[in-house]
Amino acid sequence: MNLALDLDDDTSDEALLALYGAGDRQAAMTLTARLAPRVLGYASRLLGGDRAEAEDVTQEAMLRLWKLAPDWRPGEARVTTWLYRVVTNLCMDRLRRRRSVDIDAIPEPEDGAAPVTERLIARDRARALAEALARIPERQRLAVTLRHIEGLANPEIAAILEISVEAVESLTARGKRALARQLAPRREELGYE
Amino acid sequence: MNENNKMRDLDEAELEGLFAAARAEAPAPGADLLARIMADADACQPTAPAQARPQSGRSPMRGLVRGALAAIGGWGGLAGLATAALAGVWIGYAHPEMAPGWSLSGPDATDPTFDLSDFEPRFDDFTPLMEGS
Repeated sequence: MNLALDLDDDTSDEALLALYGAGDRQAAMTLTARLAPRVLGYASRLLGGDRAEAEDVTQEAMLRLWKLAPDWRPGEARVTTWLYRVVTNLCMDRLRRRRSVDIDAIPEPEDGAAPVTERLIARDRARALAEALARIPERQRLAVTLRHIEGLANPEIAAILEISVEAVESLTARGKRALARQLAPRREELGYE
Repeated sequence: MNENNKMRDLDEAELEGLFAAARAEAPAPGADLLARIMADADACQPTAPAQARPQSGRSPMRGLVRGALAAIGGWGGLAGLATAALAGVWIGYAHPEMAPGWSLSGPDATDPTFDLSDFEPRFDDFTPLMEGS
């Protein structure tokens, strides 16, 4: 499927959703091209790299967005905030059914175009982080992932997790401390001196 | 690397290096997933609103005109009326002497006899019009 779309279009996600609700198919294509990669990446991280399950979550979250479109009230929330919350809940439900993230199931990251040494180091770091994230408490894992990997601001994370900004700051700080401590013995392996 | 350094927690920059590596590993959605998402979008899309004809704000005059038109037989009737009106104007302007006997007070009032040729236009009837232009 070719989704060669004008991603530079500065139409907001909220406006596009309203256009889709009014019958504009192109708006759905633009939203899909914009949001599906973010949703898939986030779901994949929360689910320990399970690609098939992350794809199911992505499709389910987008389906809920389409169904919501006619009732979307502009100005009430951002589409991305709503979507991250849905994806978080869907992934947590699946993880609870699974009981925990199977660290051995975390796949080897795909090779990119970087030079071999650099690529190997990046791969090792991504895998080590995923393993360490799987071992810290759930709320800390979510806050750290949203803040430092998804790159969201604290108020948006607070809205997604439905907690205060102070609680986000606390979870993020504790999560990072736990990661730093856990990964200390692997410093050399991670390419740090 | 000494033992103390090995057991020291990772610092901010080192952690950021791990986060950057994780960000770079983002999986890209395949064509199949995108197709499934768009199929759902199509299935859920509310029906596009039809191009509604303006029902309100319609002028009542339009209804009257439409009624009057219907009463005279539609556009064909209107064309006939227009032709008759133009013919009347032309007869009166270009050839008033064609019907002298119609004047009750004129010189020929006593002679009410007409021939069909009296009503035939002549080419020179148009001369005043040509000169006036």
